[in-house]
Parts: sequence; C-alpha cells; structure tokens
Amino acid sequence: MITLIHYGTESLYAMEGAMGRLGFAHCRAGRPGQAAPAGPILLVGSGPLDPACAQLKGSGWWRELPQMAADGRAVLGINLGLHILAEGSEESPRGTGLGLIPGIVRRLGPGVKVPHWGWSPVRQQRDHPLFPEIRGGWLFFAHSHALEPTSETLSLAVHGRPFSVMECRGRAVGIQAHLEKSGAFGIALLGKLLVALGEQREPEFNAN
Amino acid sequence: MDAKRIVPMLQVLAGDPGQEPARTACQLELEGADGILFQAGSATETDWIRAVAGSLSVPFALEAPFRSWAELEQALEAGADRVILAGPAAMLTAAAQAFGRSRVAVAVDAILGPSGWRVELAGEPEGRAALDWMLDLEQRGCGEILLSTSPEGEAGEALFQGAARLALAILYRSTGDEARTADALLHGADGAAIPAARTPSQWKAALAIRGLAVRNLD
Repeated sequence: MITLIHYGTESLYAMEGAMGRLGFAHCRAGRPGQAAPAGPILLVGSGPLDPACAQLKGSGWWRELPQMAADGRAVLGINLGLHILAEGSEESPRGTGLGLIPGIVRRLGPGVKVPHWGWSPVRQQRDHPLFPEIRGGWLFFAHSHALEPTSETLSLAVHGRPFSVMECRGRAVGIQAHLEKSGAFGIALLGKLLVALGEQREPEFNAN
Repeated sequence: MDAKRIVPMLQVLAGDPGQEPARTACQLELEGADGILFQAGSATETDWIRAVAGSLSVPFALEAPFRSWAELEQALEAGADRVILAGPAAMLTAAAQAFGRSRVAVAVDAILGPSGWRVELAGEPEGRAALDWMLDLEQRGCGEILLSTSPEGEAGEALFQGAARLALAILYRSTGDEARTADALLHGADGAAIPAARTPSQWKAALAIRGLAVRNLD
C-alpha cells in the first residue's frame, strides 16, 4: 500500500488518479500514524518551501520520515518533495532539509525563464537497478529551484544549466519532474519505479 | 531545450460539468496535447476539476473570472495546476506567494495602435505599453502570460521578441492561423493555446515542418 502524505493545500487528486490507473492501492495520511503499515511513502509537493516544511513539522512527518527511511521504508519525493528530502535550499537559507539526499537546491537562472514550466528532454547519466532506462523521454517540470547535479545524479535535464531530475540514495528517491503529469511516458516510469521499490499492483493489473 | 507547448483550449459550460470535460481532455492528451487550458464562465464548480485531475496525465490550467480568494484556492486544491487571472489581477501577488509563482498566470490582450502594442486597463484612460505591463506583472509574481494580440499581424514580431526577453514564459493565444502561430513561437513564445478545430498532433506536425521543436508521443 502506497502512502501519500497529505499536507497543507497540496492537491493529491492527480497522483491518486495515477495510482488508480497503474493499479496500486494507496491511502492519504495527514499524520505518520495514519500511514499504511508498509510500502513506499510519497511526498508530492509544489509551491513555496517554508509553509510545506512547517506543515510537515506540525504533523509529525518531519520527525518520522528519516526514521522510516532508516527502517527501510522507501521514501519518494516529487518536485518540492525532492527539495524537502535534500540537505537545504536557497529558497529557505535559514532552514535545512531532511538530508535524505545530499546536496543543496538552488534557484534556476539567471538568463532563463523562471519558473521553468514545460516539457524537457531528460538524459540518463548513471544506471541504477531501480530506474528503467529513460533515454529520449520528455518529462514535465514546474519549478523555480532545482538540486545541483553531482556524479551520483541518475538523470539530468537542462534549463540554462543542467539540473538533477532523479536521485536515489538507499531507499530515498527524489524526482524533480511531475511524473504524474508527464503523459503516458511519465506514468509508465512511475509504475516501473514503484514496482522496483517493491510495491505490487492489484491482481487485475498484473497482466499488464 | 524545452518543446514548444501545444495546449488546446476547452470551454466548460455552466451546468454541464460532470465527467465530460475530463473525457474530452483525456482524448486530447492521447492526440498529443502538452496541457489543457479550460475556459469557464465561473469558478464556483469544482467537481469537474477534481475529475480532470484524477484522469488526465498532462498539466491543465483554468481561466475563469475568479471572484474571491476562496474560488482561487478551491480550484487549485481541486487539482488545477495553474489558474489564469484576468487583466488587472488584483489577487496576483498574494496568490503567487501562497501557491507559488508557477501556479499563477495572467491573461494579457495586446492591441496594436498608432503608438505600438498597448493594453487597456481599468482606471488608466491611455492604457499602458504592453511590454511595460508584462514587466509589471512579472515583478508582481506572475508565472506566465497568456498573450493574445489584435489585430494579428506581421508587427507581432516585435512584441514577441520583447516578451521573450522577460524572465517569464509566454503562451500565445492562437486564433487558429497556422502561419501566425508559428511566427509567435519562432519569435519567442514558449507555447500556443490552440482552438480545438485541429488536433494537437496535426498542429505539431505542421509546426515541426517549420522547424519548431515539439514533444512527439512515443
């Protein structure tokens, strides 16, 4: 069972729809105590960083997520979720991230349009058993900040300069693209990733 | 480099909602749409937004006369990726701060007159130079401009080249004229909102021939 963290005004309908179409059982959890007993935890996010972090702190997720990851639970951060999993962000110079993924999130630009809202080609930099090959794929992005890529970064896109699209450290996964908004290609990638993280589809979807 | 976005416009009629907008939008996604721009006469209904969010796999925006903060908030909470505010954009800065710049766009109608491209603004008898107005919107937190021009014509080149130098994206509201839409994209627009008469794939095929980068389905 996939747990979707429900916080603030973040809309989960798109991700829930994607889960339903992919055949994954899922639930919303406002607090860690409402999480499914096992399975990946999804932190989907958009919008400003500080209010999101404050809401996660207030609901107990901030304290529990690192422990859940340490216990072997897969934690998947998408868009702002990746920024929260990182060590810090220029968007909130006084704050820190959860530190499940190394690196600092920096503002895009100068010299490019910010926010970056569009479809970018994604280039794979490293192979990883969790990630299907994504050469030639287009993914949808909606962000003003991004994680600086390192040699560990799995895939990259370019908006003025290269930025990290996918990161994986142990069972912590961060993805800058909105896979649930990236058409059939993004949805399929999300499905393969969740299967690789050990999640099983509902029986009637196994044939696909 | 990003693909030029091809975004069909869909009218949502009051009282009709239900599943119909979601069905039509999903069909357009299969036909290559990079997003959907819904145009609604009011922002009071949200059931259809939830239905679209739950079934569509590309981003969608809602252009509607948002009359209150609550209407704006409920559209975004229901799953609209972006709201498009009309003209003077009273709620712009607060919305950009609360929801993020990328989720708030503003519609701009640029009119070509003797003194260049202008916009008409309530309370400003002489209006404003279109580029000045767009720069003002950028500084107030706008994440994208939905730019329409009247009359459409050759002189749009200067407007789009100027707009391309702004630090925010420009979506051109096309009336369906292929050559002018291609010109707007070649001169700096990041995408085009298109009428539903032709499919997104047909648009992309035509634009690719003119040398524009588009996202093709696998």
